[in-house]
Amino acid sequence: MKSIFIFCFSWSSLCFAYGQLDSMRVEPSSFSGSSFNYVHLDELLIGKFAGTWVTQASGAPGSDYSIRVRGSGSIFGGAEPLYVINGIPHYNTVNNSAYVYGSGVDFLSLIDPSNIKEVKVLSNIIATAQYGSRGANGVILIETKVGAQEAFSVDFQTFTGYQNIYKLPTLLDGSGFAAYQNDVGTNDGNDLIYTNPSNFGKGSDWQQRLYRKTALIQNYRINLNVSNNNTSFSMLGSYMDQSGIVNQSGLKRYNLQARLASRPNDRMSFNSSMVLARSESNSVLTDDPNGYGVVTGAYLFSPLLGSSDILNYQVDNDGLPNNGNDGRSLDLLSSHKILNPIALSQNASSFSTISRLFWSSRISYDITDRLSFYTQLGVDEIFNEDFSYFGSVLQPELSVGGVGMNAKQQSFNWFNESYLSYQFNQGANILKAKIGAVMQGTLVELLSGQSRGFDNEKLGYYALGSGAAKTIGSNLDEVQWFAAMANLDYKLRGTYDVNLILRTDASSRFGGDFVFLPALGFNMDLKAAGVLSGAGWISGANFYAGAGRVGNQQISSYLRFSQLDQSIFYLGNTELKSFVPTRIASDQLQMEISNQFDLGGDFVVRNGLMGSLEYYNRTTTNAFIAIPMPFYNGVASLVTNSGVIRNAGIEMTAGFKNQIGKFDWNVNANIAFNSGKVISEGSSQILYGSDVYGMNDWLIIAEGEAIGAIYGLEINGMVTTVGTDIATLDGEVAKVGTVSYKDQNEDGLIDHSDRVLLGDVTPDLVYGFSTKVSSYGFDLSLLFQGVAGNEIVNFNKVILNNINGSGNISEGAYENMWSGTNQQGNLPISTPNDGKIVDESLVENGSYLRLKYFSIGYNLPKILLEKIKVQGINIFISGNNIFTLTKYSGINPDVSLFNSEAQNMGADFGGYPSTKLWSVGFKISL
Amino acid sequence: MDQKDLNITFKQGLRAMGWSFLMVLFSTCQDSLEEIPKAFLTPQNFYETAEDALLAVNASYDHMASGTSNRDFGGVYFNNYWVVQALASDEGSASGANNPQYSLPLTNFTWDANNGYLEDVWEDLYKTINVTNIALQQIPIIEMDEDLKNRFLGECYFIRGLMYFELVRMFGDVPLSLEPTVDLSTISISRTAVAEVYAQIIIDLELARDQLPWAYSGVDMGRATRGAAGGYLTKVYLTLGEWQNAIDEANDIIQSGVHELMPNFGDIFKIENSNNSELLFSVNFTLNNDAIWETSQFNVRVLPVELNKNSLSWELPTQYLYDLFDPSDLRRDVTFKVEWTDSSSGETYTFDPHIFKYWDEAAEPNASSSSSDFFNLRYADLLLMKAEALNELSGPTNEAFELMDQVRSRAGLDGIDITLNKEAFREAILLERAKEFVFEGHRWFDLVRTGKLKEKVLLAKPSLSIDMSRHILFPIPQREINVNPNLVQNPGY
Repeated sequence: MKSIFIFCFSWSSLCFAYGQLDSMRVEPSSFSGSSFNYVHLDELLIGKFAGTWVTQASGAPGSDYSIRVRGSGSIFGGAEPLYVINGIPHYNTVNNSAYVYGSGVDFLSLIDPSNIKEVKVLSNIIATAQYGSRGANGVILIETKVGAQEAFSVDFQTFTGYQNIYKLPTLLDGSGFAAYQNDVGTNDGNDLIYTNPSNFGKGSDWQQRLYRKTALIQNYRINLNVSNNNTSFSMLGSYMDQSGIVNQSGLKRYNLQARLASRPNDRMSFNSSMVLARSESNSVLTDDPNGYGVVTGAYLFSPLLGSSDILNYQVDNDGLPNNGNDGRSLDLLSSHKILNPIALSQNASSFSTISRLFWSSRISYDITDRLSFYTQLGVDEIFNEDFSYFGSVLQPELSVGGVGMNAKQQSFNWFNESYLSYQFNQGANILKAKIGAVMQGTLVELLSGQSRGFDNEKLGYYALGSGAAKTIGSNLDEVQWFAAMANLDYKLRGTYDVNLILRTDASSRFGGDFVFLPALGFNMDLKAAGVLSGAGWISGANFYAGAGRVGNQQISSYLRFSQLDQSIFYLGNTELKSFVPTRIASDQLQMEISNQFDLGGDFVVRNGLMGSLEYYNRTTTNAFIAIPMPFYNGVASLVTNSGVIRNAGIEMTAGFKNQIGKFDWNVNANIAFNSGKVISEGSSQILYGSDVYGMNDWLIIAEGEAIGAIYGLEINGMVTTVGTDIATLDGEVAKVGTVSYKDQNEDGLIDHSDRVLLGDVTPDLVYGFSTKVSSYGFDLSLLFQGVAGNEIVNFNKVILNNINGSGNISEGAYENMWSGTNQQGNLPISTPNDGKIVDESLVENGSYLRLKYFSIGYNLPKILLEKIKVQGINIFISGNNIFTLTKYSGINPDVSLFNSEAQNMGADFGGYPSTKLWSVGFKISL
Repeated sequence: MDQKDLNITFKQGLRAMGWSFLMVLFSTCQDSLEEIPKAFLTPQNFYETAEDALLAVNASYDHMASGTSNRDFGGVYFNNYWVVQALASDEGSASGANNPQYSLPLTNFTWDANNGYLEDVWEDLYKTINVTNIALQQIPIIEMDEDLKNRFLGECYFIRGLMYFELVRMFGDVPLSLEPTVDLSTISISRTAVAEVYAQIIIDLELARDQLPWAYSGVDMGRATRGAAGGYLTKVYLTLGEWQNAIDEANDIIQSGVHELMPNFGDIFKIENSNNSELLFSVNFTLNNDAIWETSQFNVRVLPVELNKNSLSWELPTQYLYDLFDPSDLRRDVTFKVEWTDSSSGETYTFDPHIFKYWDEAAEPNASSSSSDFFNLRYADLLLMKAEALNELSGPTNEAFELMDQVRSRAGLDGIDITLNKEAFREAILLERAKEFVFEGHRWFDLVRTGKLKEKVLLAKPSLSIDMSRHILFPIPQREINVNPNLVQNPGY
């Protein structure tokens, strides 16, 4: 069992990650041609690690995944785990600035997952405590491949993938839409608009025009290994070209990776790795919380209009936009300006390039037999450049011309870790000690330019100078970290193991104050202790316990300073400048500190069965909370450390690996229960949740309730008879066919104070099951995963079910629409505020079970290979997102509108649709 | 040296090496762990020069017009302030096309503490106060020309006084914050009694009056003047019923000769006449491709959708208000239109009365975002205020009739009937104000000040129930009550 812990470079042999829950290794075979086909690095985390919840934020190529280890560890700070790639720690960030349309490409997606040797998720306190003030939300360890033992090998692999949308809402067609518009008019007591709705036929199917039927992925990679006795070298070159399922979108990725490992003499070992990656992505406006994107546009845009119509007009009986001067009426269906999704995808697009240079060198030197020195240097430099253009054709009513933007951002991240370690063996007892320090700094610089009113729209973001009005901007974000640590480990008779970590961390974000973060772990080898003497069939078992403190510092820089920002105003027509206060200093702000306690055990049985069980309890005593401030303070809120939150749960893993007859069989099953609660919010109830289509504050932080509790109105039912005693949102008399809400405080009015808890966005249960069977050269692999006990706020329903007549709706909504003739309908004929109300109809169960990955491979028999003088040929077919069992009515229950933001989880609105991917390919090894 | 000694020496050396290693690391890192903002200003590196002082003063003008940072949607006088005044009176109604959950309850006198428009007004007023508090604390310690410094301070006193005047009239007792917030200790200050708030308003406005010039030139046109401060002092005294003080303040301005009525009522609203001499104070907006929340929203909100431009009929005048006008009143057809002809197509559109006075069609044919300013206080208001104070002090005097007639004659109306008694003259002034200041953000204040809210609103909106104990104050926004446990709600909410 202990052999599983071979992998802790930064703490070398002293890395005692008790409990392999943290370290169930991704089988290296996962990356060979015979198994699953991963496009994004984060996919390696899906379904394999107990308690690791992976959510795809958007289906756009290269877009971010949200990762939560053991629940949501922060509400107003970041809750993502720390990534440690080849020993260099950093947080994944997404390039989703104002200069990029859509959800943006994240920087991690630049790294080709096929060259990853191993991924581990650390969540146990003794493992995460090694990362101190950045360990609280878990740590993802990633190592790229090193050269294999062969003297020389080359392999080439390629696959072609076909992406298809697996689900879209069915919308009304032309004649359906016309009939629906008639009904809306009738409900409002107006005359029929269309005398014969069926004349309109199918009309325009905007979704069909927006999405590609099939989007291709092509991938080529070549891998080369050379090694001799004490040096090995590995190199990978790869290229991927992924078309997006939305027209005009796509991603190209180029990778060049190299790793050199050497052991020049007995005392010294050395390895150095490099990743040089570049991506080029095209994107259109999707995942837009304001509802201006192409996905929501395709829902809303009238099927009675054609490609040349930009705005969502009402048309007349002949299908012509009625009574306007140039045949274009401004009789818009809605005051919210919905643009033609096709025109939008063609005239509002962005192009981004990201280049990443990632370099890490590690040297270890044994000064004496007992004393050794280790040091690591790393640099991670990211350049990215965004270009976007918004064509003037999209603003027919304004004469401001197109808008072009160009932004350049450079992120420089350096890292150094050094320590001395000492080992003393006394018979069967081993003492290990270590002292060292970690330093890291990040510098992010931004320069941006925007120009509008181009004389000639053939010019755009490469000719910002030709626009009429130009603005430029720049920014800087700088952070430094420092930690000193000491580690003491004592192993008694190979049975009892005590590990003490003493660490003190400081960060420039928190004024350089040092925070003491100790941890203590205990492990007992039950086999060696003789506890299992009667059970010879158990080949190994452990009991372990640990307690300690870890921190989180994912919060904006400079919060300890009051900030003044420039703002403009006019006297007469003269532009004047002012500096206005935009932030009050949170000058006492500290990092979040969590106290964690773990208890667990694991076992291995001789027949290849293994299992583990672990309980954890992590309490964050000074969680970041943005406390709302009375407005006379000049700002709406102030970030403080006043929250207390707790995540506690149980993780279970079972595995099996054995040969049964001619079959090699490998199974991994994991399940984790988590309960995340707000123990104290430090203030009155705090509402949060960013604006989605005009709705905000849809989440609440309330004492004793779940982290990410959804807050909204409860529905009574349909109003069937007019009654003045029915409380309404606008104070008007309730109309028949509208929805009535529960007046919780019985004040005769429906308003914010009538909201109640409607669920929570974090799952109670996360699970995964994977298996691989191989025989006679064939192999079959499957991975199922799912979550249960979470709710999703399906904001799409506000559009798809909004039968106010302000845009197209789903077929199902029309069937359920209340009308004089359909009094069974449960969708209201009209709603105040255009239906933009967070109520229980938007909140849906987010549980699902999905066959996430599937693959069949075949290795050509040796006899054949020898004839053609190659080492191996493997052909495979694999599938991603094959099927999903869920009651969720949206496209995908595995969704998050706001990427990985902790304060905005669980929202679904106008996201780039995710796809089903089938691919075929082969691998040749020479 | 034997092996044992060597071991000891080695261990000592190792220990020394370890400690010095750590010491060096700690000392080098302490320096670099200091955070130094370079991309934005902080109070620590601002407020040092006269230029900084000007930028700090400008922040309060910025907040009145274009935005209060977090809200990012226009400042105090951008929209909700005058919308609330119009809807919660006999003057206007909401069409319900925009934010019906807020606009309809204001129209129907069913508003509650969760009304977003009221919360916006409160937020904007207080954020502006905070900005003046910062400037008033920082500018005195800047070394600069004393006259200019006094003017800057005067501008801030004026704006702070004005903001509290708006607050105390709308919400009654309010938290009186006169210093910028530095930490969480000021998170829960209580409400201050109305009388005490007024005392502070008078202090601020008097300081402003004494420190501000009568007029500016060039780019400074549009800043607060002595006339602005004196004009608002007049209004404060009128509201408090201190008639003689109101008359004295008004006289100071009238005798200065700086301000006068524009000869033609319609010209007040022309874009080219921005900051004209009738205006004691206005908040400037502009139409400019770069301006987003710096443009005025009047046209978008109040012009009819039938124009097929960018106007949306959100707030409409009541039919009652329209009918108050004598057809011979020159103000009627400037203020409203019921039909409009598109000059390019020749087509004519008809509609219910809409407010047209803010639309300078020749200058801004688009009927969209606009340069038209918000008129806080006009000379016509000052004349009518003085007439009102004279009437209250000693019945309708000749001077009072004469002041009223100045305003009426510009509207093409005959002189007022000089046989009117005190009560009838009081009524006549209120009627004149209704017609002179349509949608200029005065009506609810006027009706509450004169105690005629219920009487007049029921004439315009007969089916409503008006509660004179409740509707003469707006509720403290529920958000503020939630975050500040020391705030007590107004009666009836």
